[in-house]
Amino acid sequence: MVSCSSDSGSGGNGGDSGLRGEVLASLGQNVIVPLQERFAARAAALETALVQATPEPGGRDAAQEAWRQAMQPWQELEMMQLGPSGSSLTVMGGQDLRARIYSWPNLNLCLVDQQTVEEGYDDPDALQAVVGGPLGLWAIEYLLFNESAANNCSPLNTINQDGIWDAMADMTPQRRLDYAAALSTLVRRRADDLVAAWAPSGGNYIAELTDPGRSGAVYGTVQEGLNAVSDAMFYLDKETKDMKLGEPLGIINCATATCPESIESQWATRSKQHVVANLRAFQALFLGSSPGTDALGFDDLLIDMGAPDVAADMAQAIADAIAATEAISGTFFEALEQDPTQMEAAHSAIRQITDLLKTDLLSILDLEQPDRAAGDND
Amino acid sequence: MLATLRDRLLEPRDAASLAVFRFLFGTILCLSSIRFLWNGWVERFYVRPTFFFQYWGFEWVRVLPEPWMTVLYVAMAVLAAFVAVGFLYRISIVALFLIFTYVELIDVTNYLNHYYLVSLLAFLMCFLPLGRAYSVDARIWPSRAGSTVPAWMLYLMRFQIGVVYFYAGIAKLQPDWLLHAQPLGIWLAARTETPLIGPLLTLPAVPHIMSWAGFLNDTLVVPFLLWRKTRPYAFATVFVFHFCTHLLFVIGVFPFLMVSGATLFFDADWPRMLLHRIRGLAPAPNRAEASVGFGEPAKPQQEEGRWSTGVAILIAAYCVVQVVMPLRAYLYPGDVLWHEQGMRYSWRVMVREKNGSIGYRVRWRDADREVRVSPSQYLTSHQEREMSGQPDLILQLARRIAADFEERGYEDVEVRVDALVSLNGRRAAPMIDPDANLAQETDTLAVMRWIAPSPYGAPLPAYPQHDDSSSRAATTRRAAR
Repeated sequence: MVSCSSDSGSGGNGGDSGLRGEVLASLGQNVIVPLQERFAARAAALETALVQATPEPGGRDAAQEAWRQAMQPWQELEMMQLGPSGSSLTVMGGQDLRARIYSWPNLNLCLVDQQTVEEGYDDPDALQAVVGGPLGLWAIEYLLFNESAANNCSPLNTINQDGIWDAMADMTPQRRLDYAAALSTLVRRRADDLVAAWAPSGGNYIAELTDPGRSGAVYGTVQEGLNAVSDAMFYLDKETKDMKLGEPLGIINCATATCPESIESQWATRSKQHVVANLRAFQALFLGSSPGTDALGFDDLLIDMGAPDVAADMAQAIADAIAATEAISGTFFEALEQDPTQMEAAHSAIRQITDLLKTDLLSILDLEQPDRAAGDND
Repeated sequence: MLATLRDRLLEPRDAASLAVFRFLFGTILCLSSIRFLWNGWVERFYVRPTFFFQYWGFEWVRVLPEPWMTVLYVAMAVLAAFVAVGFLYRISIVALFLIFTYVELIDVTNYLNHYYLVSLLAFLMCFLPLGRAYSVDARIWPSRAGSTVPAWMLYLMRFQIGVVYFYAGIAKLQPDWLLHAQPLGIWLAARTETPLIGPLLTLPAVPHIMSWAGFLNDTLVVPFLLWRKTRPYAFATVFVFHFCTHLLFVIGVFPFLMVSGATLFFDADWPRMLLHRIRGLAPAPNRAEASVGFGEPAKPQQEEGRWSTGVAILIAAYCVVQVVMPLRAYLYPGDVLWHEQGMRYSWRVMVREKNGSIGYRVRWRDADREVRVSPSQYLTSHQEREMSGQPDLILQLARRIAADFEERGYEDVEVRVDALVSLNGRRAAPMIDPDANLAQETDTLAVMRWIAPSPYGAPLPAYPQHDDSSSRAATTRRAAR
């Protein structure tokens, strides 16, 4: 555990070269890894609960609660897509684990329904091999919470045209649970893979944060490592602010007054909790811990650079955004219908954070926006 | 007096130093083109974007579809290699100039001062007979070979390099750089792991020392390079300075280009003298006995026939443009680093750390709401980052958004922008008037009234006075509860 109270002894502008390294290591050891371990445990609990679930009234309750419990740490990890969980195409050290655990916003619901009909989920390994096949917690949400007996395929699709879907109506609830159970096995495996990828006894990705710049390291310097973390924090801008709030509110990428179909959690209606979890993860990375506990985070770097006002403003903006989101009455669906101003307030509050992130924080710490590192300057 | 000046300009000078510069310039551009291809930057900068920011006056330039952009970069690598060895020199340098300038004109967000310098140097080299010595051309076609060039050619190249240094120095003559050591303070704090010099960067005075060193180097290095007695020391300073910038910053070929340019300030026959010394030949040959190749006899040229009043006027006009162009920024009120009017082509190299958060708001006739448009819907992250600090680019995208909405049938489209920008560590402030309808504005040379005044106050302090940092962090956390 790295102490926050050590005197940086800085000679100016963060002259203590070790502080950035200490922050990076602390974020890995105290924020990211514990969260991954918590998620892995909850993914295992979800698998167990789904195996025991039944279609009878109340038979899915435990599994649904287990899904909610698993989503809580996962939505925090959404903000930490660096290294193995990140995309292999855009993230340094990326191994695409995130896409297999939670594929939002990419999910072909018709394909889920087709697999349900075909019972193509008996063998989880085969299920995983289906190109473009539905995977992860989002597909599980559909299968576990969706009360509709209808499917999402067109009338011309074989399962509708041949009457197969209607013919198996009685079996659909059980098949959906079986399918969800198979998917939860894959999620649990990927969660274990994620933990192993970071564990010193496994892929040891934690060393990329505790010892960057060593021979063969993914991050050549501490600054590159910090940049990877700040890149991940941009999830708050595009995904949380624009996609989870802006699109449903109809203020971005929406042709009508509102776009409820863009709400993230369509069946479990947990979008508000997801956004709060995103914000709490951002807060944990910024402060190095939850509020009220002492650890090294980006706020310490800002203070060390002589910008305590920016650190204070950012901390306050995060707290305000969490409060504004929690203040939304009911679900996002209900809020959109009854009082969108609450969601708009949350959107504005999050924009305060992303404005600070993109301007003051990046400038003062000399960080780059995601995907910006390539190319020359002068 | 004019006759004396004319005689001085037409004096034959050894072509050796220009030939060495030709070799260095071609080699640098060849390697730079290969690096561009190797890093996949053709795809990143020319294929991936769906929107390109146009240069004022060059709106007609369009990107070519793949594979032609890749072909152009391959062609540049080959042509630059030809220039380096002096093979088909004239054709190669003209083609290189045209292709390089074309690819740079495709998108303003790719603008770099040193790319502009490459275009200018290549342009000048199109008119200079740099293939006549130490070249494949001279070997193949001895009749084209020659050992000297008129002095004005060397002076012109020195002038171009000198302009860059001088104005880069003048650009640092401002409080942020000299009094507050910013943005160097911010940059150096993030580079304490730099090999060799990293540990030095933790010393408190270093940002100020380096800021002043950079300012003095840029403003004084040209006179010191011109004066024979100080020249070796000045060149050594140039070398160390650019070596440091190469270590610290990702500025591509700029350091190599400027060190190569500094060699032009030595006597024109320095390569020959150096070779003789290396070979242990003594005494060094008379400078008049210059040769077209290593060890070949001298063949001084008669240059008068190439000179005319027209040529003199063109050269003078070019020099005037180069002197006046960077000064235009002073015609605009306010801080050029903020409003950026007159920023391009003025050699303000590495003097600002600017980050912005940009969001567009769109309304139209009878609209019951305002729609937000994120720049990321149009731009790559590289383009968005570059645009976020440059008002004219923010305007270009606003007009494009307006055009898109009108194309979809909306009438009287209005586009406004929330543009928060941080300059050199200052707290972010609005850079654009949030009430200005940018759909109605046009990009002209006039003062852009819709740009908000630059924020007052000093930038981030280079030497924060540390008290107990942990107690301040705790203050931050209390605020979060």
